[in-house]
Amino acid sequence: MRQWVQDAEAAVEGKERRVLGNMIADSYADVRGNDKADIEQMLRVWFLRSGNIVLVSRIDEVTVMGDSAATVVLTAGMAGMGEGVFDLDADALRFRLELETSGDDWLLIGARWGKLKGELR
Amino acid sequence: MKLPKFESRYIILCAAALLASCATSRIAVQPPEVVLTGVQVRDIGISGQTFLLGFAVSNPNPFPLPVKNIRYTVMLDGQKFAGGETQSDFVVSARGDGEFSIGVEMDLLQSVSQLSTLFRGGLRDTIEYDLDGTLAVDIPFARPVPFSSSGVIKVRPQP
Repeated sequence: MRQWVQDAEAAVEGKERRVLGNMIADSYADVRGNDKADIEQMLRVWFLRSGNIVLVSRIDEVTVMGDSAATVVLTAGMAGMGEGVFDLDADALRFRLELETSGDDWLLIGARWGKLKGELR
Repeated sequence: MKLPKFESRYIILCAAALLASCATSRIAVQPPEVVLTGVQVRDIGISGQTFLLGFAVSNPNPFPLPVKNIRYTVMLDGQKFAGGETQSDFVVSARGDGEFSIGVEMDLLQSVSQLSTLFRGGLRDTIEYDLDGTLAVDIPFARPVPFSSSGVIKVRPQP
């Protein structure tokens, strides 16, 4: 699970949309109403901005349910922000990732996020 | 095989030009355009009145904008008319347009101001405005996106 988070972090920093897309299940859905295509669009916004992305994350909790489901709660922040349009905020956010595997790779099937002391949704 | 000096310089120049074109062909991310489309008197009461501010938003970018919060300040004829922050939940599609409106309640004291009275008797048909604000988008780590515009709007009296 920690390796999955590290791989995702490296893919974000490398702006590798295809790699990240392969880490998200086609059935991805979250309470905000996003599907996989919406999440890929969000990644696109991150990657279209100029400058490098440096993601700093800390895994707070990992829960594995059976052999095929897991949740990861992590705190993540961005570094290396610029001053252009759609720049990224330095404030850290908390994420709760839901993952599923059918035997090979873990895939993201849902996520909630929010401010550190706020509600995750 | 060793290339003549001229040819090797030419190849280096071509490679540099190709790299430069790759760097500049990157899609430029642009701020959305937000304009005030109208100010309408909705309700006049003893204690005050309600105005409805209409806005149009245009997203020039190749990705949709999920807007979750709007902060704005509207100046009419160079004077602050209204300002505030409102939660929202709409998406402006990629390279698309959208509309939203915000209701503004003014108490009696504000209502008797010169600006407010402009809308009562239909004294003027148009008025100049300046709009500033930010759109907060529902994208992790994305900072609120600023917007600013100026123009002229038609004054619409109470229906």
